[in-house]
Amino acid sequence: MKLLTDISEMLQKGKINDVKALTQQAIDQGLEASVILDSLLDGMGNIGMKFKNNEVFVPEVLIAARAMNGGLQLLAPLLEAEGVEPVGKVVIGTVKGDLHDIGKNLVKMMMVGAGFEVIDLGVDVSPEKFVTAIEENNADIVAMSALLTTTMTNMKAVIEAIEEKGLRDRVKIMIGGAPVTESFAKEIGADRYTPDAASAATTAKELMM
Amino acid sequence: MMISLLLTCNKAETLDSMQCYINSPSYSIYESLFDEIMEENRDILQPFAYYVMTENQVINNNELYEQIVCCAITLGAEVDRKMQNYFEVDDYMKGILLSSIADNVLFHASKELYQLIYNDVRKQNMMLTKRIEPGTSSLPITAQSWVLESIKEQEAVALTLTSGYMLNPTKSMAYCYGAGRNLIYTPIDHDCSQCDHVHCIHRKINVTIQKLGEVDRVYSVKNGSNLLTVLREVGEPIHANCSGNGTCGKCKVRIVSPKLPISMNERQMITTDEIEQGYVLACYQNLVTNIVVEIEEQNAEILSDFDIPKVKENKYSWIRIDGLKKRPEDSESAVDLIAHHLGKDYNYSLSALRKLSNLFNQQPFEILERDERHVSDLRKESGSFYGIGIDIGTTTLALALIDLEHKQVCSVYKCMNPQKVYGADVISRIHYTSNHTDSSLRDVIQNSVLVGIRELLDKYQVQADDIMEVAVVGNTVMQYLFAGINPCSLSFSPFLSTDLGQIKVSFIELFQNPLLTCDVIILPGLSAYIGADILSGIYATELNDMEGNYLFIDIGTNGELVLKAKGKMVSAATAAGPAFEGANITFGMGSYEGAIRSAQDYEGHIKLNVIGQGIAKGICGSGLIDLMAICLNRGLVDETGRIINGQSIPVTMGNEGIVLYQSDIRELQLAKAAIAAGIEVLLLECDCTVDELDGLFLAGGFGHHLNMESAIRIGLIPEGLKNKTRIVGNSALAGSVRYLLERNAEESLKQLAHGCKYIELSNNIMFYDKYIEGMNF
Repeated sequence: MKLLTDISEMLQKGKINDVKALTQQAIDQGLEASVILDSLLDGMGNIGMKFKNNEVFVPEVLIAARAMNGGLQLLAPLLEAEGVEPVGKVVIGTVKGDLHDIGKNLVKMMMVGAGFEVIDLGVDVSPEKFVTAIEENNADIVAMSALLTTTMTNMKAVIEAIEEKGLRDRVKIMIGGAPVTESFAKEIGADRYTPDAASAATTAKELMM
Repeated sequence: MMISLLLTCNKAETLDSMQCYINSPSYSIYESLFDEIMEENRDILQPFAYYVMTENQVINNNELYEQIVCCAITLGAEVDRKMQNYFEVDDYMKGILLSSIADNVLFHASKELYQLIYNDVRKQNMMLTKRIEPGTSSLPITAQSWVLESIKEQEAVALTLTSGYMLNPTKSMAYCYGAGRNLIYTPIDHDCSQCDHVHCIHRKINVTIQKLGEVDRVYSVKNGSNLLTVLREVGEPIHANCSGNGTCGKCKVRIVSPKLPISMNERQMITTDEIEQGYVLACYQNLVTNIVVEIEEQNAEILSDFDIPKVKENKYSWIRIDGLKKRPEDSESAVDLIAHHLGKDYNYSLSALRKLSNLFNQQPFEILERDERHVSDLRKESGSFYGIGIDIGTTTLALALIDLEHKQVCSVYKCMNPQKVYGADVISRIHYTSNHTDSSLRDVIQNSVLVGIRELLDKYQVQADDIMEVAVVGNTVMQYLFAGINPCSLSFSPFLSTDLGQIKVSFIELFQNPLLTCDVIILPGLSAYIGADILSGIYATELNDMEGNYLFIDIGTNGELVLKAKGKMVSAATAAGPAFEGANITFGMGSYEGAIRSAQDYEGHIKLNVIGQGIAKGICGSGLIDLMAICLNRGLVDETGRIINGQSIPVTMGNEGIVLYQSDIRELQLAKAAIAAGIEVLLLECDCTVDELDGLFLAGGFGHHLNMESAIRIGLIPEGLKNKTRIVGNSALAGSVRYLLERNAEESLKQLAHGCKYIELSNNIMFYDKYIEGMNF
């Protein structure tokens, strides 16, 4: 449908006003909120792909995300009324001893853009806090960020705490950050490592399948 | 002591650091967002710093470090809170931009702090090492706590470390330097090439420039910088005829190391042998690694020959002042007294008044009168005085220091126009100006002129004070770029000029440099395309005062023509194209070493004359015309310009020898037809014929080497002018010299411009008919 592809395209161009207007138009035409949401997610997914392929950079992704938010705000009450469930629930945070939040925030942004509900625990998050949040929110995925070689070991502490609580089977574990690598993920028993925010979102979706 | 540093944030650097580039569609959005955030958060971005000197404890076994200077800079906790606020309301754009701004503020603050510390340490007779940062190979991250504790022992610093040794607030830095009396001289804060952070977005790479007979120079440039841009910025004389559009293939340089990857496009413009030797096209190379590049010095032939023009009346004369005295009852000033004494009023410059105030009571003294109205100088004894004439050509720059009293050339300085790295012709330079907001083109030409003036003064030991005037000529675009006037509107119809009159400006105002204190006169032009260089050329040759009918031609990038006939003077500019300067010709080049300057057919054997006598590397304009004439005479090319056999004609032997291609011949046909047609249109305008012409003046470097027989053979110059041609050399420079020497030159030039009609050829139907006719040989 033209209107829906237009929404996706305008979102990729970062045109917040057009996305809002078109979303409202779609709502007014009586389209289902979940269908409209799909066109927003499609646009954001495409931008993520372009980002991964180095066709666009962070600034363009941010502008697209702003446009997505514009549309989401109009849709949110309808989604709730229709009882549309998020793709999954993610608990996210930067590990203890680490105050870097830019990377973690970008991942959060991309995951919201992929249809997830994201519970953001902020920075300097202790293993206990991670575990409590997973339990309380019945999270599907926990995503951890660390930017320092001195703090990446705390990812292991979180995983141990999760295991201790007997939650390891219920939750998938994703990790990322500058010093983190694929082999480090294997070593500490995380499910996935992703090198950038866009692949974090697509990987999270794969994990939900 | 807490030091409050400057809040400096560079917008371009900041946006660049978040990969927001000037050509990206969202750049303007981020630019305005940047302004908004700066405005909103100025007070929470203020950087503060601390530094303390302490005994060396941590940096193991280096006894050269007598002291360690521990430093910390922070923007405080408010920035962190503000960023968090932005993120909480999902305003990622502002959150990330504020973070980048804070990083840039920290970066600039650390540079300022370095200077403070450097000066402090130098005062104590010590030297500083490069920056030593915790978390790099030279210092473990755990040393962060030692650095911080050392500062805290002496200062109340609101900085803490997390368990992961991260500074809180996050927009902070802590690092140190070693200091000692026996350290080697190292005036560098940070050395990217030695830094562990190989993926750092701020990382710089080193470009080493090697030149025969010179010490290597190393420049630190941003990772990803374009090689042509770098070479331009450091002032290397690279050819970039197409202004870096990747089409001309002239910005060829050899990379000594490492071997750089070559694109498909480059492969089409450089030979396999050259690629093997490491040649690349600078405009295609974006640098991601340290490189060593070799620059070949190119010695150009620059025409600066001219004869001192004849002068009707002298501009300057010395007048002796003696016995003037003020009577107590009168209210006359010294200036009034001189005016009464000489019977007319004079204008004085401030510097002349200053001298007068010193000399009046030391009579007798001499005043130097200019144009019978102005006082240019005052001295105890008359003596030599000088002027400087400057010709800013599109390709070359020539300065002449003139002894105005004895009317002789003291010395000439010449060099390539440094703007050539921004394009070979005026259009590509205008193009650069319209795409860039910087003042590079003005800066480089003004710098070259300054260097030239310094050298002239030095060589001839002339005092800056003895220079009376500087007269500048050039085509309109060159003059505008030199003066900092935007030339863009000259490049498209209706070819609007900003001003064509004479511009008189103080040297200091024009150059922002007090090397000279006299005025600079930028001479007037006639139209957008008949500039001051041509008007000055006419002035120098006295075309307007001569009896008979004369044609004046200056062939450069454009072919400018002036005809004085039957009591009329008319002019036109033909877009001859840069073919005569070697552009658009496969093996074309300017008059540099290695260019075939002329060719002669000696009984079936072609004799080439190469500039510098070495191996031929290409063909310059006069050589091209000779070769063309030979091809025609030998029947290798028919009268329509078609090569009879095949697609090319070899000029030199060997696999990679010089060749004339069909496309080169076509290019030459277009250029010569334009000039030939321009001449015909002017002749028709004056109702004059070739036979009625008494002479042809050929100006410029091209005219200097032109073989008339060849020029006539290919139809560039009408046959009837064969024995009536006078080579006038750099007549533009000569005209500027006449301006310096002759009384009322300003008025004369004004009248000259007034009396010369400009004929626009681009919409002239007659021109197009003649143009098509003139295409054949």
